[in-house]
Amino acid sequence: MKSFPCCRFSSFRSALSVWFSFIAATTIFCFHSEIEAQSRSLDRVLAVVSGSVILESDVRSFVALGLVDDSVTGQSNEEVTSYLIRRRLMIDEIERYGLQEPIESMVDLRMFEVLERFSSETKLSTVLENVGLSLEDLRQLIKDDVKLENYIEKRFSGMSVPTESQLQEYYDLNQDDFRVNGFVLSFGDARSQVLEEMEDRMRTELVIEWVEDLQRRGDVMRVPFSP
Amino acid sequence: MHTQVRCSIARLVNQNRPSFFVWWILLIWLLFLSRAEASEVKDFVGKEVAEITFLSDGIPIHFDGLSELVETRVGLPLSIRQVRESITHLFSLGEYESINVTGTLLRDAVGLQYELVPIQLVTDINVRGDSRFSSGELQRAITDAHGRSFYVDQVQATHRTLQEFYRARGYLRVDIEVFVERHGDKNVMVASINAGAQALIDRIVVRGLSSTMYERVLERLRFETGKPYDGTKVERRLRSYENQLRGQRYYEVTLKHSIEIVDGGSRVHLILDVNHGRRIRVSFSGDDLPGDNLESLVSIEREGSVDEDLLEDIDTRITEHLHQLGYRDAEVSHSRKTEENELSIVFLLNLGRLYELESIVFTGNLSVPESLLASFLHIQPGEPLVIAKLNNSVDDLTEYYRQLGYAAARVETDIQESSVESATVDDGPEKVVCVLSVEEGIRTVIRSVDIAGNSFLSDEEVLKNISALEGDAYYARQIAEDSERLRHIYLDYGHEGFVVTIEQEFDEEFKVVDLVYHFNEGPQILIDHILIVGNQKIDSATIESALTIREGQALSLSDVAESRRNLNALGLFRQVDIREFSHGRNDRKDVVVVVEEAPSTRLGYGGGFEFSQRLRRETNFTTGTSQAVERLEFAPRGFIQIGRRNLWGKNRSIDLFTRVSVRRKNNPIDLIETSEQEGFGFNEYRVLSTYTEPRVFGSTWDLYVTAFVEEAIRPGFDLFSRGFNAEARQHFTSTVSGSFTYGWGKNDTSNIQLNPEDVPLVDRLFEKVRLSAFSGSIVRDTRSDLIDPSDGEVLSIDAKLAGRSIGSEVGFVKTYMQAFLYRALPGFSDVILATGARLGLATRFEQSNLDFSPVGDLSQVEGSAILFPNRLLPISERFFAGGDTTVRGFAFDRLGIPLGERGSTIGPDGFPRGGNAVLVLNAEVRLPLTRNFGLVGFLDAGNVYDTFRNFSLARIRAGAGFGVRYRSPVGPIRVDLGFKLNRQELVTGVENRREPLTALHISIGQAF
Repeated sequence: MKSFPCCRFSSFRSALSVWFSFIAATTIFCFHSEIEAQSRSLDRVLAVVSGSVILESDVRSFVALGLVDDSVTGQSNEEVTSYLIRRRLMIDEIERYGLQEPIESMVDLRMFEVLERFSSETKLSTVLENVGLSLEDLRQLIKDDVKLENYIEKRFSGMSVPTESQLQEYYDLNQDDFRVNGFVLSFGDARSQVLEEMEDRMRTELVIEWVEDLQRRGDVMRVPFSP
Repeated sequence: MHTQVRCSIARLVNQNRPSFFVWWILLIWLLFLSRAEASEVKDFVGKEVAEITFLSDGIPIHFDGLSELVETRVGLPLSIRQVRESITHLFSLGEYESINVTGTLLRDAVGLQYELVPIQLVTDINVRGDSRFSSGELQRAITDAHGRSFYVDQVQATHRTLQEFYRARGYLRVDIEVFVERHGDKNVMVASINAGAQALIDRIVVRGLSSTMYERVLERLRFETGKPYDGTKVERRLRSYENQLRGQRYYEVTLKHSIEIVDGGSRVHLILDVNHGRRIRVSFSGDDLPGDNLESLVSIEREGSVDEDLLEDIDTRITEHLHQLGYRDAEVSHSRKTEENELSIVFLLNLGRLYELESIVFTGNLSVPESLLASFLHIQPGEPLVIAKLNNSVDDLTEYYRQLGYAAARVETDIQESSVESATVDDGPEKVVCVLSVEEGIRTVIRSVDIAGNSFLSDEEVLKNISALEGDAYYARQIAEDSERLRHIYLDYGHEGFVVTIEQEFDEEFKVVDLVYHFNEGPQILIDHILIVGNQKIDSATIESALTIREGQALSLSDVAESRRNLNALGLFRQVDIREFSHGRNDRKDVVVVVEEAPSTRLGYGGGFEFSQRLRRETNFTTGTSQAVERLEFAPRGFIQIGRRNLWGKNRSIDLFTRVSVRRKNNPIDLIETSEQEGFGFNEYRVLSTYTEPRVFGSTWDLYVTAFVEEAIRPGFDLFSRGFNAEARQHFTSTVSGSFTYGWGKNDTSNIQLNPEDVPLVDRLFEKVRLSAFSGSIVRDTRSDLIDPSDGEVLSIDAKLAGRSIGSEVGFVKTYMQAFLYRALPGFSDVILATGARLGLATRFEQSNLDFSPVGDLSQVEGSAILFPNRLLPISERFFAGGDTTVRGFAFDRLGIPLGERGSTIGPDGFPRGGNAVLVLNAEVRLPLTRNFGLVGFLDAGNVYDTFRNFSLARIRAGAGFGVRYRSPVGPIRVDLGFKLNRQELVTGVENRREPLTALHISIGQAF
């Protein structure tokens, strides 16, 4: 097929426009990636609790190492920061009482659980390096957690014993939870389970109350994020 | 336009050129990919740091202090750990509210940017508009409420403060706008104010007053309608009136004011609520109150109140006072009686019988003899029976038994009246016998002491710090003290969370106890980093040298306290703060030393006066004779001091001190020159320059090099000296210090007021004496206060050695010893007994290598033109005594052995010549009268002897007297009048040359 000069010119113009588009886009990409995409915040202060800082890398480390408590539903920075603030307040509070250091074997076990979350020690080392922690730091974090759990267990267990009427009321309201093979257990049969659940619930309420009180009394400053 | 673009896009899409779109899609994908990849922190970790920049408030900054705080380093791989630590360090300064570290990938390297957001503080206030008040007044109102500097976000709160300020002053329509302006690096709060007109008093309503009183009160308060309303003035006048009424015994008076705003704030109704209350009358009924301290017990007038609580307090106070006097059954009550406009408070006193302790009997004390128990008693037979003293005795006895191991010991009192029951008050005090029944109980002994849970300190180390050990008596307080001691030791080793609980297990009979110390040591806190901030001119090394804390060592509380003390002692800083900063880890903390440097140049100046009795030559032109007389002299003086510290960034300093006194010059003996040299002038001066270098050459000694020029008018001669001293000084402990000094100087004495016959032999010979000497001193000073001590002692010994071999024209050895003791008199904690003793001894070396030609009692040194009385030191080095700080019955330097006696140190004209030995003894009782005034009584004694050979206690002169003290901000101002206890003739056998009886001294500071 013979091509007309105008057609040839049109084709040439199209090719040129594509070529220029490519050059422009590549240039934009290069500059863009050089100027914007390659910069990022490495760390920053998120909160200050009684003079101790909570950093963004703390949040990253707790998420990456799976150290965030089950009570934290989401994994957003905001929620994890709140969790770390509460944790710091509690640790500061229990430090005042000079509690016994936790048993090393318990800490070892927890360390092992964390290690298990990673396919290799190298992987864990990389994660630790990326969040600015050492194995020693990790051990200290775990130790603090165990200490805190021990304290809570010791202080709040058995503090509130539900009355029979409370147990009955709880059973009546949550009968569906006490089924075995489709049959609802009688109060007498389910009593120990009801008692356990109620004690657990009351203990949680007491802990929440304690933490709320710490938050009220505590010197907490959240740093507003300034982009 | 939009249509065209849309068409072009549509055309491009329709042109079906997949390669073009592929490019675009590819680009967009790459773009996202690149962004996604770069958003991972791991991409930055391990890459070399190419540059580090700091931004503060978005502006690049640079100062050396920052790089010390930042752990990340250019040229080294990036570590997030270092980033974390850097943020923590920077945040610990307390200057930033936020810190953000951003990384930028630069090919194979990383650029780091620390973005610091400073805490925004308002430091200046600017007032604009028609404010009606001075800027100073408004600034004061703001700073009183919000401090000298406050956060930017508090600015709106200042709006309320200003509004309240104006409203209180009657500017009810004030218009205020506050905002922050940035002036350079400062935040300035601007208050734009339009005060408007002050509200006028439209009506005055007085509530709570009869119409007759209405006018009187308004006249007194000077409130008028039509005048501007100023709430602060109204309050001031109300308070003044209130005080006036209280002075008239209207103690219940309350005066309040409020306003009703009318016409939108241009006028107000002033409402005064006046409640005069009733006039109060205080009276006593029943028995007479012994003693005359009613005023201090019945504090109604002082407190200006008849509150029921206060009246009950007064009842109790009077009752306790009566109990202290021995009226143990005394009862006091009060009643209120209203009579017309008067409220009468009547205190009913029922003293009961006066009891006197006849004897004390101990029973049940099996293991402790009665004589020993009696030493714990606070009350003795023959004294009034004071139950409080008896109870104190019982407490002390019980405590003593507990120390012996009788943990359950009890002591009970039984007071048995020995007088007949029918006795009356007139029969005198009721005699009582006090029986102290002791129930000793079981003595418990410590059977064993065990320690558990310790790993940091060994058992042996712990046991060294426990005083209650096996075999010792069980004493609970001692065990508690041991536990406290252990806590302090552990705190000093950085164990902040250390807790020790002591388990005590007694046997069935409580005869033995087993102690188990359970330790919970907690983590040891080590110092991770020591960060020094705030220093600009002073080297960090200078600060570090003053710190006793070290990186890697335990965070010891006592070391932190000592470091703070050391830094303050440097005198280089206006403020020193040592903060601990946690990383979140429980075993590591940073220590931030924040200093605020004091100005490098210091300037001091001041003035004062000296008012003292001095010896002066009095010349009788008629007879042509002259002699020494004591005159009260007033000499104004002033000083100026300029100093420069932080020399070369170290704790070195140089000071120039100049002092000048206006004083009358000594009259010369030569009558012809009298008219030329008489009169006042700047005849005494001192110019002194000191270079100070603490811890010289890295040692623990401080070096002081001083050059001086001085002219002083002494009784008998004028002394002109110049020279220099180099002194090395050290504090061995907090109370003991020592120094070594080398001094070189030239002393010229002129205008010597000695016997004219001696002039050829003595006077001129003292001119131009060059001295080169080594000296040393050691001082132990435990005074509670350097200016006005109430406890402690000072012991010091000085020794000086001058020799021809080291360049001195005269060789001598001289020593001066001082001891002062300050104690409260037993039973009077605020009455201080101060005693002192000073002894000086010296001798001149024989100058055997020179040709001596004795002339009378003088030795002559040929060639050097130096002649000295027998073994006497040069006059500038001799001892003198007498005056406001030595023996106060005498004028300044007046003491000596009269002419004609053996070893005379007073010349024929009555002027002292000084001597080679001196003794001064002092005793003074300091009695405070009020908070600022006090009285002293003193007895001083001493004398000056020509040589130690003629030293004799029998020849000491004594003076006694009294004085007053006023405790001023610059120290106690002192006026002392001393009397000679034995006046004598200055020249033996010459009656008309008797010493005056008294000497008056006015000065600042205690005599010793």
